[in-house]
Amino acid sequence: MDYSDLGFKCGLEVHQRLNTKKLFCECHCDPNRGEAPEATQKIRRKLRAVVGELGKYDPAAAFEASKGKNYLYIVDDETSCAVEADEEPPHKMNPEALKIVLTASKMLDSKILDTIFVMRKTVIDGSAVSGFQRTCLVALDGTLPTSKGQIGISTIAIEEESAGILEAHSEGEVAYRLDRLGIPLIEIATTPSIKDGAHAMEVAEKLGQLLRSTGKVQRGLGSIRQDLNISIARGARVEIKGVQDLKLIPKLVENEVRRQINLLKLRERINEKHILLGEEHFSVKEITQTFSNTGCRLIKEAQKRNEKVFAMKLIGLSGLFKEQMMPSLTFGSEVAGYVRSHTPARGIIHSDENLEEKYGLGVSEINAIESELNLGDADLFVICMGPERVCHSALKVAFERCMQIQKGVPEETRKAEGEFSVFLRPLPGSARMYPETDLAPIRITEDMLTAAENGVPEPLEKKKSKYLGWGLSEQIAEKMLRSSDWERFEQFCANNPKISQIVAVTLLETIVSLRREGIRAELLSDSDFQQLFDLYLDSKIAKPAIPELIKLKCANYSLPFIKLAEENSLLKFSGSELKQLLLKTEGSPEKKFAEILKTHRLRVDALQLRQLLEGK
Amino acid sequence: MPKIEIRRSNLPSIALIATGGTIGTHVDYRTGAVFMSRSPEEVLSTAPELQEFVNLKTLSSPFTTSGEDMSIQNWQILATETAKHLNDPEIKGAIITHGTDFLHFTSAALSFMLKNLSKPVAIVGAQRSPDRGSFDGTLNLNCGARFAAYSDIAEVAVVMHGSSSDDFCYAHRGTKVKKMHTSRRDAFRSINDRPLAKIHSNGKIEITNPSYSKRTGGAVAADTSMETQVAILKAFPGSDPKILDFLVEKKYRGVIIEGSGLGHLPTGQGGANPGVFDKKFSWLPAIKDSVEKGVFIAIASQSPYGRVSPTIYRNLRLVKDAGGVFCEDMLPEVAYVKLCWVLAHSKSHEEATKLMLTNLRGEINSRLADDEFLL
Repeated sequence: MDYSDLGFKCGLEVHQRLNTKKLFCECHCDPNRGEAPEATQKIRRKLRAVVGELGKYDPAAAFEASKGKNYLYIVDDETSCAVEADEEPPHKMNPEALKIVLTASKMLDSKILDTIFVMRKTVIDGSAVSGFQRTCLVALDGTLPTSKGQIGISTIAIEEESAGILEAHSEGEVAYRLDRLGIPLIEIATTPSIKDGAHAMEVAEKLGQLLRSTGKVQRGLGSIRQDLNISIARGARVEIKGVQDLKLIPKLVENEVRRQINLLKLRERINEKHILLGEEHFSVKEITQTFSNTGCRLIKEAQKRNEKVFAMKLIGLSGLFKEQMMPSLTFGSEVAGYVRSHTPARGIIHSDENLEEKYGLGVSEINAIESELNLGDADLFVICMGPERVCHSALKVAFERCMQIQKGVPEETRKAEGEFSVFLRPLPGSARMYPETDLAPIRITEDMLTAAENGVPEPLEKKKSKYLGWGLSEQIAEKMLRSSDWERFEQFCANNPKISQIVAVTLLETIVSLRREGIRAELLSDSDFQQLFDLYLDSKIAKPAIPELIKLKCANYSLPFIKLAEENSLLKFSGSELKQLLLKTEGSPEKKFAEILKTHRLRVDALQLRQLLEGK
Repeated sequence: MPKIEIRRSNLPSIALIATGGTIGTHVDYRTGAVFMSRSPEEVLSTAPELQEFVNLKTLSSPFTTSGEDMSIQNWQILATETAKHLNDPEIKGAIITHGTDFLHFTSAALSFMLKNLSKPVAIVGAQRSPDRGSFDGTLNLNCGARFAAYSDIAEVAVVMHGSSSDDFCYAHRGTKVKKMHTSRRDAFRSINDRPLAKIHSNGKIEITNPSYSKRTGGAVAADTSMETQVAILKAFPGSDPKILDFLVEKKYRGVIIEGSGLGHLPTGQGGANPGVFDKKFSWLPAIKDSVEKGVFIAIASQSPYGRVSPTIYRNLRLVKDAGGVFCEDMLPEVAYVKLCWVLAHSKSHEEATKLMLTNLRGEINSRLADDEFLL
């Protein structure tokens, strides 16, 4: 696919959690550290659709309100307070979090505003307790260099993280945990100048690395989120939220492009066939009576619940629902996704499926439906079961989605699922932001800008050269740059670069393999590690003893490393002790070398031994 | 701003009187904060479902202000307006929207000013502004309207959230309620009384206090005369009673003094060895002096719960003997409002004292149940 020929446009939006107290209160939460605290409170609320400041309903807000959900908030008082519960106004913006965003803004060469204003962005899916998310634009017009040219960074903002959803609590009630609500996020949005899927992946990786290099971001699942905005000429802007695995981005982008191309092709075909779908063609018929003796499990269950079955006809559209939008997604499943998102219906059944095999419908039943609806050969039918009102809504939604084919590609928000995506909700309208009236504007002073400048870390290439200069292998240097350990790695090696490889391997690999054995080495503090490395520097221990000593320390935390080494025969053999060993061991030098290392692996410096052998 | 279409129906009719408050705010681009400016129709747009269960026969707005800017004169205007609507035989009750700050002053004032109250009056507010999805005013409006139209409680009641959830409101007796938190939805709590009713979000009204005046068909009179020269003072360690002399000089006719605990004021005579207590900080001479000059001195407590007493401790008896009138279990704010009303409705100190110590509108609860603390 030639992306430029297609008029391909793609922008990326990154949201990264910062490792500070929350943005507008004194709570702290890192969902990836430690166990989730016990819930102390349950609060039940309803959120209303509010007319926007300009007097218009925000379509996304109206959409959520129409579903009429109740929200249950689970609170624990270790990670949230009255501010999260919307019972206390926000405190002043967290200056440490703002500083990190100013630093990132400098790193992206952007123009920082001289006064920043906190705004309220309407959100009524329940993930913001107050019905809005606080967000604040900080900088504009930055750039990010990539292998395919400069990418524009259109905006950098600081905003609050939303509450985390728990599985749908019960019918009509959605539950959220408030622990992560309010964690500061930096939001970086690029211009739609990304050239293709591989480029999108590169931009995502580079932005992620840049943010991690500040050393002030949270790590782990969900701490960074990537959203893609994709469109092709004559298509529409589609937002794909929650891209998890960066390696899947190229395929994800390709699939969305394919989906848009296929929707456009579908429109052409419908137009060629002169099929016009208008409101006047929508009609729903009850067909409950057809299934008095059905073998279909789904319908039997609906009957037990005293539910009914309804059907509608789509004239001339047989085969429509079979159309492949992208691998693993037919138009039929697309419509079903719309129905499930817009209504409480469980789903739809349609005649482009193998009804006998898939649902156990009998041939006579299918014939009866066709006859009830007066179905022609080129027609399609759609069935829904449930309460009457729900079925009517569901079929209306399905019909409207089909009508939309005539318009081409609808603007929408989709959810990433691996390398595919599913419909999530309508694209939000523009009438959804207004001033946060509880807070005054913030002047960005010279002092703040200077502090931000001082916070800019070394560029990664410079860091890497430094690490290579210290003796790190290429592979370990790359790994260290990507990790969250580089800060303390530099601390440990600053005065003694010669131990850099050992420190790096210990932090990046030893700890990981010990964790697999159930040993939680990450509990050791920086000063514990400093002690250990000092022992090595003082030639008291050999490199192989390090993992063993860490194990022992985790089991006997109160004992210092030197004592653990002494009591467990882990002190390194001195030069004279090694000479003695060599004398006592029999065989050729190679044999002696191998034998000594085998028996005293943890106490022998292999290099020293080799040197002695050669000196001899 | 969106306006709601007012429909006529056969549902019970109520009067809506909008006076301002957070419940009626917009974003003010002049100051960047919120500002009270909504008309009653605009207020209603935040609770469109109201018309599913009541008929809004009249909508009015005698003024639009914040809770903290309320004045005695505004209470009088409001009482007159309310009585006028209540005397329409079709009207079942009234709902007043109001700022939450000092709302409990207004509820007390209306309780005294509405003579022979025969129908429910709900006063509602909101702690969050209407621009947000979590606006708490909607439930308060709905519950207040139900209270006004469907309950048989002929009292002035503050109807606000009963918990941090959107599941029910309490109707608090207007003379027994206080705003106890600066920002929580359930900031209003009944003090020294149980709430009158629990109004669930599904509309069910549950009576939680059997002691209330029942609905009758009688006419309501607005008896609004108020003495305005009344003040509230707080006594505290190091407080100088000269402040009372100052008020007397300025021709104040009544002062509520918030003492400590049972109604104590510093006298220096509380214990056997008072340490360092400068005699000039004893409140006794100032009280004696002001009473002699005809000023009514009423004693309430800084502890909102419980009852004051003129006898338990020596200091209390000394204050009583100096002429202080101990106000039972009345909140100081309610004692203040009551004193304003009483001084305008009595001709002598004796008469005023009798009225202050008579339970006129539920403001004095002679039986404090043991489990009515911190409800």
